[in-house]
Amino acid sequence: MIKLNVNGEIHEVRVKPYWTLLRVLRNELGLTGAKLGCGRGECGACTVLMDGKPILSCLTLAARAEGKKIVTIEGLAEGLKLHPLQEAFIKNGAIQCGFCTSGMILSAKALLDRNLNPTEEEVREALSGNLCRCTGYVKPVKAVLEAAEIMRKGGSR
Amino acid sequence: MSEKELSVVGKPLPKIDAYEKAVGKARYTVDLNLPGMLHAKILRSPYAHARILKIDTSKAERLPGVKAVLSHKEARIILGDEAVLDDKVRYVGDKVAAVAATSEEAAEEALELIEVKYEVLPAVFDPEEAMKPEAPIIHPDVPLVKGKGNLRDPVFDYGVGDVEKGFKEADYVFENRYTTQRQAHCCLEPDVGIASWDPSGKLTYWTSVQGAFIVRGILARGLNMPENMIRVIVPPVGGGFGAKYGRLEDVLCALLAKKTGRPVKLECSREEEFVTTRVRSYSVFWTKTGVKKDGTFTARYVRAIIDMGAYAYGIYMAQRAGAWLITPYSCPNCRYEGYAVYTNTPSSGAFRGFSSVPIHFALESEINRIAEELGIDPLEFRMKNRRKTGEINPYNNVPIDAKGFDECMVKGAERIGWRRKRGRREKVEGVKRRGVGMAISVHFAPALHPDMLVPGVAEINVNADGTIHLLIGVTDIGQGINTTCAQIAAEELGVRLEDVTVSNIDTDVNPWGWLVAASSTLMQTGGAVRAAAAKVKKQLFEHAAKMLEVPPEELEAKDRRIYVKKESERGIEISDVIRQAGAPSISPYFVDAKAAYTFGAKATYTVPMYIPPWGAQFAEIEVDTETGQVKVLRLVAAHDVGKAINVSIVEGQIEGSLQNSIGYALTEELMLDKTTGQVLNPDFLDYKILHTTDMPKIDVILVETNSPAGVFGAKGVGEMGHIPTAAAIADAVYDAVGVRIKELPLTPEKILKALRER
Repeated sequence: MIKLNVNGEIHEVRVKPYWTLLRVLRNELGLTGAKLGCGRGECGACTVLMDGKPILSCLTLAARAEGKKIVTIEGLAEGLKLHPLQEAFIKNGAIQCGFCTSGMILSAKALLDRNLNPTEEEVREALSGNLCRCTGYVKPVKAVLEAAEIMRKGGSR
Repeated sequence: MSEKELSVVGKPLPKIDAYEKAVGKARYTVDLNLPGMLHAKILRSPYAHARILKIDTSKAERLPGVKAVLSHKEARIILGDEAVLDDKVRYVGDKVAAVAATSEEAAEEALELIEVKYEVLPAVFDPEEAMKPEAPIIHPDVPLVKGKGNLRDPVFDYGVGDVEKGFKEADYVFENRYTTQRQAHCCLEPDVGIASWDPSGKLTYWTSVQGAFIVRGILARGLNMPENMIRVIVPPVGGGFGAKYGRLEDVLCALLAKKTGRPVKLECSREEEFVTTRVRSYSVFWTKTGVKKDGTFTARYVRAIIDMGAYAYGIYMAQRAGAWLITPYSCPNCRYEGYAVYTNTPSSGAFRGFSSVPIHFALESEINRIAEELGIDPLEFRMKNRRKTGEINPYNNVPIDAKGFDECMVKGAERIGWRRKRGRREKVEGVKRRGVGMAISVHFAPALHPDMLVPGVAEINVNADGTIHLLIGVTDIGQGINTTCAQIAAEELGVRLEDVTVSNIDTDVNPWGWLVAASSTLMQTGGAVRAAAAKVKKQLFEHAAKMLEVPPEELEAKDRRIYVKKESERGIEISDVIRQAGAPSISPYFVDAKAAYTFGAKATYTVPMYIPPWGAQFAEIEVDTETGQVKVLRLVAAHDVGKAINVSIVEGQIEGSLQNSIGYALTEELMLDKTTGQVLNPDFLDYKILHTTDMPKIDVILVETNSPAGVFGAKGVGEMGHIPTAAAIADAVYDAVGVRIKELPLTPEKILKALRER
């Protein structure tokens, strides 16, 4: 039995020692926003934040997440109020199939939480672990830059 | 419609499914779990070609947690040339047996307990080798061309004029051989299905697929069941690109669920996804071209050899590729020969730019070469030879409309700085050289072949408040067809985008639809949506005309309101038209009932003729002559989209295509071991798709030509961006360093070798 702090809520979960954080989030907690794209840490679809840093939850054992703050895509909006990144992804057409979106938005959040004024290169670097086959990354990068601008101007968070 | 200003169509509105995807609430098939659900795994062949002499599943069956094991003994159900499970395997990764167990771990463990005795057979991995009479025969029971090994019958042979005569008339004849590699789709969501039977004998199947009704058909044939007893539901789909058009694994999953009486989920691993999803074919093109000194074509000939791999899903590539030889350029004599060949390799099949991507690399590269040898600028060469407006395309007898062709070339050339940069062999930083290159594309939308001119179907149900539910038969795989169709319906009916709900596919509910394929979805289904909306509008106008006391033809609808064209202040809300239609009711229940039976329509639509979307791409690249590395600095993609129903969606289709196509040009190749046929790189580390940091600066130029055949003037845009890129980049490499690479991808090794041999 481990205690996991996910999106500010404490969950007590019975886990097997070899279960990954991704498996626990998806199968035990029903948080399916993080995706299994490869299971080998190569595609970034499973990205979540652990103590503010983007991690690959498919390579992280659930037990290792105990005592850390985990944020998943489900924890980004406040009720029905979306995070500026989510707004910007929607508005800019940055979401096509959407399978990589959660990971991409969380990688971007980790960037903006430490640097609200990133260059395009810094955005590309921050998203470089998130594979996308649909968008060519053009609109996701634009969306992150736009969200940064909105947040600099005092948009929420 | 032309007199009315468009208010929904043409706007870059947010996709209607983006909200649930942005917050992680969209439930893809892979996210679904049913009570009591079992997990399935497939035992896959370690041999490229073998007969199964004996298979013993008893140990696997005894493993705790295992509920069912299937082998060919129970599942040798043959559809086409493939069996659900066979007593013969034809490539490394072919299906041998399947297990359903209470956990994925138990299912995986059980696979190791299945004992199989194989008789290993000689195998062949190269299509040209496979056509030799002595090659081992992979499918003895299908029609093959006699004396040609594994060459599937028929050979496709068609064209126009007489090429032999054309070659005699030529001042120069050029011959060449090009090859293109296997490319994997790399959908981020791997293939997955969940089968569940109820005691009435009805099967429900959730799956991630581009054609729900195609899957229903496969299940019906594979299980020998009536179609109404099969319900296919398609939740949001994590990418398609041609990969997801139904597979025999669907039948296997349903059989496991039937045998166990429990729901079964069959989820592909990433490795299985790379090996089994019917990749873009390895292809060989022999080209022969006759030209006059001034660059006029006298004859063009291509022999295309399409490696189908183990099963014949790729046969259509061989059949159709000649279209791209015949359509874009004027030439009195053209001949295409298409060979579809079996090998003991992963099957090939549809992939964005169906049949068009590989042959464009060969044809456009050859045109760049010929232009160079004749001393003609490649842009001028194309301008001179491209088909003229009004000319009849001999491929399908449809008149050409070339205005988008020129505009794509002119605007793209301007943007890249063609005239300033071409032919300069610019030196930068000592060992680096820069160059620019170009290529064009044409891709039929809807697909060129008459048997693929399947209609689109749409159904509109109207609520009492004037909002609507739109049902279509095709799937939104991320490309945004639901949003695009909602915009079309809203525009035609005069309501807002948020007034239209489009549901994902449920074959028990939605009207029939074909695959999301061949850039045909918008053309066919979008046309049907407009036709259905027009019918509903007519119903509304008939009622409104009585209320407003004018003839219906004097009415217009916009922003939820029907009004008199010449007196726009004289009007009525659409919701009021519905509520007041017929006898007034004192009960709110009957108001709704009246809306339901008074308004609503279903329509089918087939595009009357096909008008091709043209495109031209220009690449600026840098070659490091010491490492052979090619870096794309800028890619300009000018495409004739007819009319962008949603600019953001259309740009997104082209931008995404470029991620696929630049990878195809430079880094992506599914590699096989030459002696065993095993895929060597079934993962994202060794199969390199482009990351954010690998993408060059991209300029998408949308050329709008308002096609008379497309809904609101649109053309199909899903595939066009993928088609010319590889040839444009290869041409830019030539411009930079003077070598032409004729085998994709353009790896550093090939470039260095070519530089050394120069």
